[in-house]
Amino acid sequence: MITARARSALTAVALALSLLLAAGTPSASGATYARISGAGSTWSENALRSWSTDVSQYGMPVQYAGTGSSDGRNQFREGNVDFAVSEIPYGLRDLGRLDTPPRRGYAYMPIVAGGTAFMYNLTINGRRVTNLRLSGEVITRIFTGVITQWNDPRIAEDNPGLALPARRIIPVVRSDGSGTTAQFTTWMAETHGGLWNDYCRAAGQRTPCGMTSNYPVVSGRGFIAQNGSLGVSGYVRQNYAEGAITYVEYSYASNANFPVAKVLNASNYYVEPTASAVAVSLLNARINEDEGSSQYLTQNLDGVYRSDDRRSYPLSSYSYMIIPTDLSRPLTEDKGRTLSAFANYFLCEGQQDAEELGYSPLPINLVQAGFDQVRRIPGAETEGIDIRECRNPTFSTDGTNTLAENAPYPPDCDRRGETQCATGTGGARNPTDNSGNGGGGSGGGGSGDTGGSTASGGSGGAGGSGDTGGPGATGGAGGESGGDAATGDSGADAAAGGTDGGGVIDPETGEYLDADGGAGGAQQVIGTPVAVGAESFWGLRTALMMVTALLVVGVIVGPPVLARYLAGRDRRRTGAGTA
Amino acid sequence: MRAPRDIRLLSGLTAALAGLLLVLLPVPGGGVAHADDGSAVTVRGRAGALDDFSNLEVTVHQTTNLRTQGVRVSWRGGAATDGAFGHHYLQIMQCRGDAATGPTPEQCQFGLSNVSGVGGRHTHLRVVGQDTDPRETRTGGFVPFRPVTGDPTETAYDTTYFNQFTTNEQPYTRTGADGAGETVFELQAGVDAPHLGCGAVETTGATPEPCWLVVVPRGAHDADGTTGENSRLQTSPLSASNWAQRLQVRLDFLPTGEYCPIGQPELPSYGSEMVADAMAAWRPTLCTSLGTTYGYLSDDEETGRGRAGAADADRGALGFVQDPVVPAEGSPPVVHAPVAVSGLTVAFTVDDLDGSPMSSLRLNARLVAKLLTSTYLRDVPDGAHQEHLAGNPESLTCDPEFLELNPAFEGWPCHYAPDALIVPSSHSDAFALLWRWLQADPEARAFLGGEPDDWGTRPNRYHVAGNLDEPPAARSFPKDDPTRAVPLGPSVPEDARYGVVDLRPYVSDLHAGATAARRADSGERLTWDPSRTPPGLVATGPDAIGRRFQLALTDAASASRLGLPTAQLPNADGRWTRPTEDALLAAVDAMADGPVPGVLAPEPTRARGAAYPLTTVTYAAASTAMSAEDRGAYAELISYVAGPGQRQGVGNGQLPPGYAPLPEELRETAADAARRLIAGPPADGDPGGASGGDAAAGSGSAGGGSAAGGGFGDASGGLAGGVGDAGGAGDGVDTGSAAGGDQGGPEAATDPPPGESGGGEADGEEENLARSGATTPETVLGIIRWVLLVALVTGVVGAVVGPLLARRGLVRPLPGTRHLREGKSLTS
Repeated sequence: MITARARSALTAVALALSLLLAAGTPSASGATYARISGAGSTWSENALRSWSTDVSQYGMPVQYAGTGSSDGRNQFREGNVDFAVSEIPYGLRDLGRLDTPPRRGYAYMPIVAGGTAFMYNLTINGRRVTNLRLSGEVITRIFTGVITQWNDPRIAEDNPGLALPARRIIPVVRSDGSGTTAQFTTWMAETHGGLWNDYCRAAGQRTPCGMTSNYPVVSGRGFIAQNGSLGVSGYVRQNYAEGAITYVEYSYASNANFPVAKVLNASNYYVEPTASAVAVSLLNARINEDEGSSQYLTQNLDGVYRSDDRRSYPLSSYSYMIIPTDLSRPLTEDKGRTLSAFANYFLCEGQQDAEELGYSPLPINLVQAGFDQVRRIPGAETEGIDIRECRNPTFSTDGTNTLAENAPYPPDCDRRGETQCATGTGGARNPTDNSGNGGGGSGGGGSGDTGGSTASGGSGGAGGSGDTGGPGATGGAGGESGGDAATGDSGADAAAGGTDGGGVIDPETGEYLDADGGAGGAQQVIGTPVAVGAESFWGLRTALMMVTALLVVGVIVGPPVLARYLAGRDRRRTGAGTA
Repeated sequence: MRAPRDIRLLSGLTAALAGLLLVLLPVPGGGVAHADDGSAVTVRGRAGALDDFSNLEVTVHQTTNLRTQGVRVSWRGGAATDGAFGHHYLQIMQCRGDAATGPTPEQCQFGLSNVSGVGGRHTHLRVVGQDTDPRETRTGGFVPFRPVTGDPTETAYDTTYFNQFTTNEQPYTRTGADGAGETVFELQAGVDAPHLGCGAVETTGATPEPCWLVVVPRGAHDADGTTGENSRLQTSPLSASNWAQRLQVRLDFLPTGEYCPIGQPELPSYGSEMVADAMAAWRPTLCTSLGTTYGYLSDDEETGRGRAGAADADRGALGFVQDPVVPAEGSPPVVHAPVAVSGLTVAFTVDDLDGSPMSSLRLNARLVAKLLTSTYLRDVPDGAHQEHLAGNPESLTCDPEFLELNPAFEGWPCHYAPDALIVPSSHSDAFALLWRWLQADPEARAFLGGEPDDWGTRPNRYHVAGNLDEPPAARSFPKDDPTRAVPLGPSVPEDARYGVVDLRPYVSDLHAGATAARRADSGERLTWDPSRTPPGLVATGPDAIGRRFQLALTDAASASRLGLPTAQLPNADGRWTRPTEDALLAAVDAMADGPVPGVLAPEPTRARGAAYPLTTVTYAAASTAMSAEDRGAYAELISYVAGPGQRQGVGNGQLPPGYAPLPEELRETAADAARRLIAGPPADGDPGGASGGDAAAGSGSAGGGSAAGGGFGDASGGLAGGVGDAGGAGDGVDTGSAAGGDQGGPEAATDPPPGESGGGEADGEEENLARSGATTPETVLGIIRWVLLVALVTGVVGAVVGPLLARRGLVRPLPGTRHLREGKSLTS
């Protein structure tokens, strides 16, 4: 026992020493990073915020203000910030006005890819729709005020499984100069130019109006304009915003726990802007590789819009960082060094988080091109740049894009036609408070597709997708996304979904409810009852358990009791002896 | 004779190692940095050439052990500020320099705040000249900024080293009618502002570089002796005459810590923002001391649960959650380690009618409910004309319920009020806790359900329709009122409207909320600007200094970091509480396990006595399904953050202010979870059945030595014959878990009351072995099972035989055993 104390004491001393070592003597700080500051895109803001937090553990101070792409380009041009982030390059005509390039040296560097998603708020009979599908033409007609009702036959054509309500569509657009708007309008101008020009004309703009950062709003068409990505997603998610739809970076829909529309691609499949769908699409992006061009590394997305891969999401794109290439104010070599280290970080390690953040990691060709641009930053640390050391999740040993290579093919029910998958999308994989339908699908497992009833609840018919349900066999999917079993109530279809789900996880508390518990709200939970308590209580296991429990208690309680008892007896005996 | 002695030796060894562990786990407190830590310094002004400041006393409330943080600065004996900062105000800035005489104007971060509308022309700039100040000798027209390294700036507006987004200068702070004023100044340490280099260490062992807080008082006279133009002073505080009147306080920063070497792969972690500040402090130490660099992505806890419960080992990662992870049926167990105790809070910046910041405010549950549900006319577009709110108070400031709790606000104008409560757009377990707190309060619950308050204030019917009074509690903050109104301003187009999300916008997360409160900027947009491209709503901008009134929901750590005061909230006993260390710990003490045993569920109704009702315990959850390598690395993280990482203090590796250190019991739970994580899933786990997996954790409960349990479960089959009881243990626990859903088992482990002291011997042995497993989990794991089993069996035999032998007089009793036991029971 003395040894024990000695050791304890020794340990205490050792610990105290180690703590002192950890926090005591100040050690030389070594090379510190100069602080850099940037502004721009809200489309990319979630990624930049996360990266800037990450690099703080390397002692690297990076500050980013999501003030919108247009503002970011202005701030960079005026020399107020060290870098900007934008989805569109300088020098484009925007509603007839030229966006002048800065006089300081600059270059474009791709930073993160993603899908511009259509987040919507729609319910049928009080249940949230999570599996809406839209074709490009319908989207354009919605955002040009031509289709104004959700029960428009052209929307119904995309959604055979949904009995869409006679409810007014509220298109929600950005009120500020925005790269998201620029991406969306570029796509409309390229793919449905006629409709877009008609709208532009009605809005009093010159035609062809092409791309614009500022969404033109025509009075009287019931559009709502909101500031910033948080503004549009914050509007759409409200109860009163039923019928609203907006275009926003996928991560905002995910964060708001709202669904996004699957968009029809050139192969007649409706696809969600997941990381892998975006990666597949961007294989068809043509990048300006003319190093002499002022638009070097900017994107031409025509191929993306028309990609014939059935996994591709048409509105995929990436955003750029606008980086300085000369030592005009406010750049210094020290800041160039920080900027290059930051860029090396987010082109590689930082892309690991892209998918969780709702983006898609950059493919190898863009990372390679990005590296070349980083080398142009004055003061850049070039020896640290090595593509082989780059832990980008899309890289493979054979040069293909791992993410695109492994991208799942859409199920048959996502094909244009008579069926419609019931799975949830975006951030609405977990049923929200009043959803009830749940859309069935769990995010994680393959079981999603069988998930259960269609989101339309009462509309029937749509649940016929049970045939895609094979993967459910993993059985692991149930718990992961918490709620796939909280499927709708359309009877038999749902039961199939329930089999792999088992129990229900209450979406609010994460509490595990047994099969007849009901996950809150009015909806009925269907699933094969789990054999909770089905085994006879007095079975062998229970008996063994009891025995074990007794033993364990015995081990714990026995010795002291025994010792005390014996000691007591000793004392009594000795006491009796002395008396 | 021989055998018992061996047992003794074994017991001794075991106890020694148990002792070692006991010492290792809890880390001594101390070094706690509070806002007022005794290093406050007060300086006095003097009679200068322009004005007499000899009555002015400025106190900086913390001047040592500084990091990037807010410090309180207060003053008295000044003259009241007039108008929109015409005369009599203070200008505050952070400067570098180690000269004993203090900094020069060239060393100060000032001049790029980009404010407009208040103060005179050059009063917020670096522009100086002889034409405005006869004592000024600089000829360049401005005061260049000279950084620690690098060239000085070239113009007055040069943003090379700081800009409007990064500067911390406070060009205009108000002195009230009583001659006093107060502000919180956000200091920037060397790592965040290398051009100032505060706390930088040149050579190992050298004193960290000091910095300065400079206060330039402005009086009735401008640098040229006049009273300025247009009733405002016009010159820069950096101009020679003004600079000569400065007050300065030396600031000693903590040495710049060590940071991670860049380029290592990061091991990811995801989830709760409630650990964000702690992770920011821990991460640089984790990578330097453990050699693993950890990533951390602040996100909805749901993401953390998804990754921690991922059946696919490749997706598996550590998740930070408050509500536990329930792994899918048949998948390997998930361990939960408590890592951080903190709380949600309402932080505020409120200037009283004299313009001085207030430090105390009370909000009861119903008032919070009102602020969250657009109850006041100000918080709804054109609220005064909305029929559904008719008769409601214009704002919090004239709600009789608020005035009853806060008499200091009696007589304030109704329009001088907060822009509702600034809330994040995100979803969180912590937000559900807030809603549960409101639901637990009968008055708040009735209000959310549609009952007017005692003064006739009516709930907003759009929110009543949202069933916020009924469980399950919401995880986010809906802004359900659809009212839209015509914006203010000229040339408003016919159909332009603004809604609640324009008037009271969301912020992205709790940290952004704290920043919004700090800047007193809610982001409100209700004015139309036709000159904008395209024309649209513009932000109102921050409240003017001296007229600030904003409340924001944030976490205690963020409030503490930014030096924000927090509102007092009533707990279940009606006691007014704030998220102080004691109140947080009292709340943890009152918590009971939730649906998953071993994971505390905050329950506002249990927050009695001194307990703070919005206390959160954040858990690191990780699945045993992950690879042994990842499990080992995550277990190391848990061991660090729940051990040495709980030492309070500022700086890398320590627990920042705003968190309470984990109580002993929770540290043990965490250590136990780390061990179970290393032990991994049952080797022959049968994914279909409910068996295997859970035993590992399950029997851990037995003696507190968890890994022993793992041994049991796994080994049970093979050993059952030899050691019937041991086999029984494993099986028995399995059954228990099968009954309760598969999560039942694992957590049973942490459940037992800590009265197991009698088993101390066996205990220590198991802990020791479990720890040794920590170093090389894969190879040792197999052996451990057997060793542990043998150990426990030996323990049982020894426990029974020992006293018997002693009784027979064959050996002397073990006095130390009793000591150990008594010592332990004292602590428990």
